[in-house]
Amino acid sequence: METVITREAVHALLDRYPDEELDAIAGFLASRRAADGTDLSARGILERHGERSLTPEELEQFMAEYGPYMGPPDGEG
Amino acid sequence: MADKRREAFAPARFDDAQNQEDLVYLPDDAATALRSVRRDIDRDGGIAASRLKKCEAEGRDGTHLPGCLKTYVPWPDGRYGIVFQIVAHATRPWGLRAIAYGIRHKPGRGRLTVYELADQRLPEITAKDLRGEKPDAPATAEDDAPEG
Repeated sequence: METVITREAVHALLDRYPDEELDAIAGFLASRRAADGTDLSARGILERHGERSLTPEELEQFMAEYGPYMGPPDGEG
Repeated sequence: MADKRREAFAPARFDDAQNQEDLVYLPDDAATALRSVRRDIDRDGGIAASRLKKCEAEGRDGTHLPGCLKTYVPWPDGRYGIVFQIVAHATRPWGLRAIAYGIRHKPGRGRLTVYELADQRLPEITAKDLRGEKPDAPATAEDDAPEG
């Protein structure tokens, strides 16, 4: 059986965290939902436009076409 | 070395809701810089591949962006960045979808970099992730039911 978690339970979970961790938690929650509730997760964004991630084989082909022109990772992120 | 005369342009698209939300937390010049790069992309039919860099699968900043690409705004060393996911669509060629726009370097306590923003948007989160997290309340008979 699926566990059903309520808003009340989530609020109770938040109360477990010290104040200094609330910035990070709020940042995470805000990054995935717009103020109007729009889903801003990568999956939500792709679904909104009828898109999907590439399969490993497709990614390989994409990189074969564009990769030679691109810069390598630069350690920044 | 890549032949600049034949440089490829990768189709790149933006999500208005994501753009709008990300701009809320950025200075005014971020919107101007983004408009400019989007104009260039519209004009060229894509972003020049030479303006793309691979993201770190495991960054030293703790972010994980495997398979993602990024560009700096303005190119080549602006203070903002866009992180893209490479995507497929039923009727369009493969392309890029922006999933985050933001500042490249930590602007201060509580603010996220574009990499942290993208990293937080990538995970697939389902209700299953919350299993086992229950309110601080006495267990019920249902809680003791064996897991299937």
